[in-house]
Amino acid sequence: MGLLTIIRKNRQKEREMRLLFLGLDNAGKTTILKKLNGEDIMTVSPTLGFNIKTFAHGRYTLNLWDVGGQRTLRPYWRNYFEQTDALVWVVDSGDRMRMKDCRDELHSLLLEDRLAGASLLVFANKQDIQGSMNDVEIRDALDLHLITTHHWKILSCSAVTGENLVAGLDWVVNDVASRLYYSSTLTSTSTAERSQRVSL
Amino acid sequence: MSEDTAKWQIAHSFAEGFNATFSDLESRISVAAAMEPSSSEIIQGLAAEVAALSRRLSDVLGTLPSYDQRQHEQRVKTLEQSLEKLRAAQPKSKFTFKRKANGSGKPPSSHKPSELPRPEAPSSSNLILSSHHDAYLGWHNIPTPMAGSSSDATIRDLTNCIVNLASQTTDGVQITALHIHNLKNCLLLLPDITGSVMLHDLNRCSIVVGCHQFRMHTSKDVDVFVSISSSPIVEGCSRIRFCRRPDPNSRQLQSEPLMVQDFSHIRPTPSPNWSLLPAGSTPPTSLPDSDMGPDEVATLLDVTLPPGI
Ligand SMILES: Nc1nc2c(ncn2[C@@H]2O[C@H](COP(=O)(O)OP(=O)(O)O)[C@@H](O)[C@H]2O)c(=O)[nH]1
Ligand SMILES: [Mg+2]
Repeated sequence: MGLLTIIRKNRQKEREMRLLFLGLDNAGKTTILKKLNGEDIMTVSPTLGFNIKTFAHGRYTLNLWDVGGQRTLRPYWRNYFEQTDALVWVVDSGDRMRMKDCRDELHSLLLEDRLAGASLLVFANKQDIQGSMNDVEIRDALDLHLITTHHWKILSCSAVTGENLVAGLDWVVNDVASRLYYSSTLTSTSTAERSQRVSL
Repeated sequence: MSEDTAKWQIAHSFAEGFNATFSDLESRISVAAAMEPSSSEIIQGLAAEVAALSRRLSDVLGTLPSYDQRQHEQRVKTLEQSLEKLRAAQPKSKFTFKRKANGSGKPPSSHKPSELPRPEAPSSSNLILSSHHDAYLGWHNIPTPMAGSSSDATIRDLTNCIVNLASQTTDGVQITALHIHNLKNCLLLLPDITGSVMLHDLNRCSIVVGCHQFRMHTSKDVDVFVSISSSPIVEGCSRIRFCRRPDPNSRQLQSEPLMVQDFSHIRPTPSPNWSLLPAGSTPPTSLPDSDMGPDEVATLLDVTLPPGI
């Protein structure tokens, strides 16, 4: 039994994944976590520091880290990179003014060594707001097509209606799992999930 | 066999370049559509590029497999249609957005036709009130808000102004987020915001607002009358005073004190940067609906704004 197999086996036993939710302040990170957890979203206050939520998702235990996004907190994001399996980048789809800021923060994050290999899900949040940018517009505004270093996917969603939140977690879990737990035996179902990356 | 390969390669490399240009144009048109008004210059530029793309296609007519040919023609047609829509939608409100230049020209070949911009998506107007001094400002100072829609709004760069947007005169425009930057000596009467109010760099102001979240950064000497269901936060602020805004629409406990969090004072001791206004403080809500001259504005600001230092 090679070392790699042993490592894989150990992780298999734990079947834990760590998802880091980042994005500009007001993107809706905390609201998404509360919604997923079935909590009241009307009382969500801005995040000081971070929140952690643990979910059972299929066979996996997910640790979701939600870190505050205002400019003064962004330098601290790096404290949370270690051991991150996936980055969930949350975008306020109505915030046209700060799309460039949002793009720049994302692209500089992706340069981080400690995030190398992490899957990237971009949540185009607040789709319930009439007139917000759709996923195609956001994909372009954020230059997602320039990303070659990470598996990525963009999904439109709403933390208020719950639209696509679970679908997003599904993608993340499958993508991470195929890498960590059975990277050498990609199943045909996950191939479709990967088409986005392959066509980069 | 090798002839087929060659043909396939030609079709393939043509498709690559074609799709790259297509995607680029597609995104620029949709960005332009979302960020009106596009100057006729921009639209003409886009139209010229679409025409060039169409020409590129007719230049290779006959050399492409018919499936590819149809696909490409369909794409040109889509571009022409969105361009038409863009033309039809001019002019609207006054928000401009510069797309990053270097994103264009790269081949985002992961395009699926199903991902074309939703044609029915209403472009949201951004409401902007900026760059005034010594004035009484209202909805009429904001360039054409779109009716029956929702929008972000921005208020910035005002000195010695009274802003009265409390009366919801504009046919049901919902403000989903409000960004406020760089105000000095201003009184703001604001409507209810369904999302957050984010404030930066206010100096000696009074604000009356209802919102879901309140996030204030690097400001000083501000009185805040707020109706809110979460905890307001301040960061890098000093001498901020809070009070619950009397709210006829809410059965919220008016007596329950606001729990303000100071992100720059993370200690068990109370923050020295904010305080509660004495119970019973009332916001200066009764303003004349008519216009006020600069002198009247100055007098009113004098008696309503916090003392400052
Ligand atoms: N309409 C709408 N508002 C949202 C949505 N998600 C979050 N919000 C609002 O956006 C504001 C910021 O949300 P929050 O979760 O605190 O953002 P965070 O700073 O990224 O954690 C709050 O007023 C939320 O109610 C959404 O999907 N739709
Ligand atoms: Mg938060």
